[in-house]
Amino acid sequence: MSGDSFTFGQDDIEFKQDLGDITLERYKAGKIDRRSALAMLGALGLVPLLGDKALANAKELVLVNWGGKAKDVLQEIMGDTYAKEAGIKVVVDGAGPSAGKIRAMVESGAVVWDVCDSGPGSAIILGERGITQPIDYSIVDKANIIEPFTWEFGCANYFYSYTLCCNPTMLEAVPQNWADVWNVKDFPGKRTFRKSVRGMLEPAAMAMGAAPDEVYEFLGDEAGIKAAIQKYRDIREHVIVWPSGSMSQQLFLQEEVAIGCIWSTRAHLLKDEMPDGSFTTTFNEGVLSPGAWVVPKHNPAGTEQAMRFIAHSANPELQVKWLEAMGPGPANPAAAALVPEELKAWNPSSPENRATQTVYNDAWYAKNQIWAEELYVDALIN
Amino acid sequence: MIARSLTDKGRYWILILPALAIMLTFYIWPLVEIFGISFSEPRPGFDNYASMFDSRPIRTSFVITFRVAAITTIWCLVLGYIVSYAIYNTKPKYVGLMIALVLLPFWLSVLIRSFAWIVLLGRSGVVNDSLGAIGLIDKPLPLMHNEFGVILSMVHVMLPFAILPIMANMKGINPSYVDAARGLGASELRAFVSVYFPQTLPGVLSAALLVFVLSLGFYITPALLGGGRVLMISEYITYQIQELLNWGVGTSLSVALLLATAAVILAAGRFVNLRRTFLERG
Amino acid sequence: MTTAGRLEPVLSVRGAKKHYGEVRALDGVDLDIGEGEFLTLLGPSGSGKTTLLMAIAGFTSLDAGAFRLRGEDITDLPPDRRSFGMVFQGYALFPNMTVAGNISFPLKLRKWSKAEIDARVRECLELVQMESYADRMPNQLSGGQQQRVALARALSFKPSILLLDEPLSALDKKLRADLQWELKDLHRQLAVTFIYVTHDQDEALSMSDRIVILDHGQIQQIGLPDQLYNQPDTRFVADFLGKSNFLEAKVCERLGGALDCESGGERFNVTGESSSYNGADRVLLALRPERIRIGAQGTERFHGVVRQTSYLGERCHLILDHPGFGGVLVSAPTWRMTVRPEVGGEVSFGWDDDACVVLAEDQ
Repeated sequence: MSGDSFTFGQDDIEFKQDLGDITLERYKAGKIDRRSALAMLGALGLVPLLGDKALANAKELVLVNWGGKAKDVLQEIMGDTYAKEAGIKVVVDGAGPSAGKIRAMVESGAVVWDVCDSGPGSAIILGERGITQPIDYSIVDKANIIEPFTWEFGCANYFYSYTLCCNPTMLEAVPQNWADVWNVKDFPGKRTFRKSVRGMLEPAAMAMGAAPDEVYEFLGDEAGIKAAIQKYRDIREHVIVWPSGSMSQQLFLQEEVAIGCIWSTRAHLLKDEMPDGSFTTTFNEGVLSPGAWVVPKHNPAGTEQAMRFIAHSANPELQVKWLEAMGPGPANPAAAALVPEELKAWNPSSPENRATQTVYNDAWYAKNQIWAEELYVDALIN
Repeated sequence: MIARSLTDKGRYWILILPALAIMLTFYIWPLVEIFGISFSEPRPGFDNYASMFDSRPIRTSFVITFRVAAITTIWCLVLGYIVSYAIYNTKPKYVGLMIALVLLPFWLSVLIRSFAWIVLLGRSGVVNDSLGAIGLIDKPLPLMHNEFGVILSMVHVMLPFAILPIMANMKGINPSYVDAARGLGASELRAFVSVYFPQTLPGVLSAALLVFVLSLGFYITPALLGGGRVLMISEYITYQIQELLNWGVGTSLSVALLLATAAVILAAGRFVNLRRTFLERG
Repeated sequence: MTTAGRLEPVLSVRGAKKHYGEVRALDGVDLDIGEGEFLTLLGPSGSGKTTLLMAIAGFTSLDAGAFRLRGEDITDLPPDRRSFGMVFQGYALFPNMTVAGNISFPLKLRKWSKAEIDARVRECLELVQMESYADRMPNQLSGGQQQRVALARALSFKPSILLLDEPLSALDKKLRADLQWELKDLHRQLAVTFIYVTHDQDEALSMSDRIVILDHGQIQQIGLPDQLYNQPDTRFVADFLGKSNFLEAKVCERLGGALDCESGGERFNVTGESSSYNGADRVLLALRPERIRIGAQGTERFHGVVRQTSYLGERCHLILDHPGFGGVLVSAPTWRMTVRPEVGGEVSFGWDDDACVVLAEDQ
């Protein structure tokens, strides 16, 4: 409720939570984590209430992401390696650093988080409001982050995409682009799209002929948005929506849908879970979306530690491990070459795959989401 | 004597005090908060309620909610009546077993029952596979991700709520009424229509109210089986709050649903004994 | 088999059997019911009387046997096609209809015109003196009023047979007595055959033309009320209908119509109608308590000691101890008591020769 105007500048927290769930499924071995109490308090938004430095101290660095097993992966791949390098204890809190929570924490003066897994939208708004610190690019080398995903108050930490996925065994021919997806006559079968409008109007725009780099131009006015919404109205009888990443996965697994626009991280799982030849993904006309590190003001471990961790996390080898573990694309341009051959096609941020995608535009959503969302729901149910 | 009876009364108040405190803290107060938020976020005033009437998807969602609840209610009444009637007209030794079977689903969560329906109704679910295997259909029937699936599953969940009041009502009907009608010259059907059925109406109305009101607030089943196209209002509330962090609209929708439900109950109060429906069931 | 005698049977029951598992509710019942008769089925609970009535009405099907209505087989006819009027124990007035609605229900089923129905409803309400209650709902009526409406409803479509299942059992004693007179009066007026079930022997005796006594699904005895009372065939009947003393006696000699009997060391003559007597040496005798006289010592034949007394207003009941007979129940009219019996006091008692009835051996 502390959201007010923050609400719509915020990044897609659902994706981030979903990333947590993914590794939960992948690494089924469940170990009790030491800091689950803190995570729970954090999830309830109670951490800021516990008072200054109650839980963090200068001898440790607190990373915050969205919980689930993604927490353990971050700990293992980024945290433990940094601890060895810098000689500081690193802990990961899975509390979910939403823009609202970061703001509440900073404004209450009880900051316990050092580096947060956020997104570009939040990075920009939090920075403008003076809640987060600028990234020190003398420590974080801009060359280690794919252009242009560095901003004053945040920088990309990984990438994911909205991609076109198909089950060829349920189709006569496999759709190659969004125009095919909207062609229900030649490509019959159920399609799944996201329940929220986010990442969904871009495919509709491309289906109407907008090139990936023109998508937001196309959606730049009301007429463009209404046209994209109309595309959904046209095919709604063929649409099943996915309210969560795991649901999108289930829909493919249970052969409820033949075609879908789902997160690349879920596609990454499906390629292993579906029988051979029954699952394809193309990054052609995908919607590429970055995550971003942000650093709250007055973070307990200090600015330098936070910046050095961010620089560490850009290590290409570590980034490849991240991709292997749960599917997010590396933020470091040098990492693409290190990706094992069999995973290259599944890397959302490889140069080849980036070339065919459009980039998710947070600013556009900040401006248009609220009413686009309403039109989108209306198109699907009314 | 008076002083004595007052202290007795006082003792009873002390007994219900903890429950009352819990209700106030965890139920009434949050409700008041929700009411407050609906008038204050993001700006004080009636904006949320105004936009609720302007918004086409919200109107549609209300229509879907009432339609789905109404259809669910009708099916529950028809099936619940038949089941209740069967229970009271079967051999007495099976009555206990049949009532146990009616109550059995209460031990399974709605979530699990909804997933069970997914297994049954899916494109390659049990029903479609079986029908396909015996050659009755050549492509899968669309049994879920639509209103049909939602209603089927809701009827399944709500059926005991229809059966119990109807059964309680039937239990109180002396079988000699039907005998009397038969003896006076009425056919079986006529005795049922003119004499038996009118006497079961209070139970039927109670069941209708109970099922309808509970159906209005349904969330899990439509979310899982509706394919996103059967957007009932409580799912829409969740969507507004979780997805859009739009507390103002979310809370005003909650208030509207609460008022609509209250209106239904009050209107029904003219025909149904509310005390019996909600307090003295079974 | 005794028939009504005066008229052809309207309804005949032949070999009616109905078993519920081990329980024989009806075990081979044969019965003829005369036109216009007031016939009562009397018996203790579980005797089969209600089962027989329900089977006649068509609510219970027989395992074996047949019903004939004026010669026509109606055994398999459903209840609605038998057209018997029926009054239920709990009245069974339809709670969702007014008094008039209840009474007109069978008439509407028979597609009477509205004018005919209105006239008949009024007529029936007059018959039971309920004219001003036409628009009441059944739950607004007292038990007696409901009973009258139930009667009016059962009679409204002019059935030739009216079946009544313990119709007065739910009413208090005084009301019950009033309604007994009214029912009898109605029966006389309408000349409809009444088949009446009760477990109350007074009710049976006071109202019936004929009584059928049932036990264990079998008919024990059929007869006119006074015949059953004064000439019971069996110990069961003698005991169930009123009270009896039972004496086991040895027949010493047969003197024409009389038997010279010996029992408990006393000798006495039995001259009562002894159609049940089969010539055996030993007989069972029933002796009604009100046939025994008591008097001061020496005024009667036998001597007894008063064990217990019970003063009932018009009558006084005594239990006397006699060394041979054991306990003897005496019911004496108080106005004729010549002695004032004290517990422990000695009295003499005796009876007329025709007071004892010879019973057939119990099955």
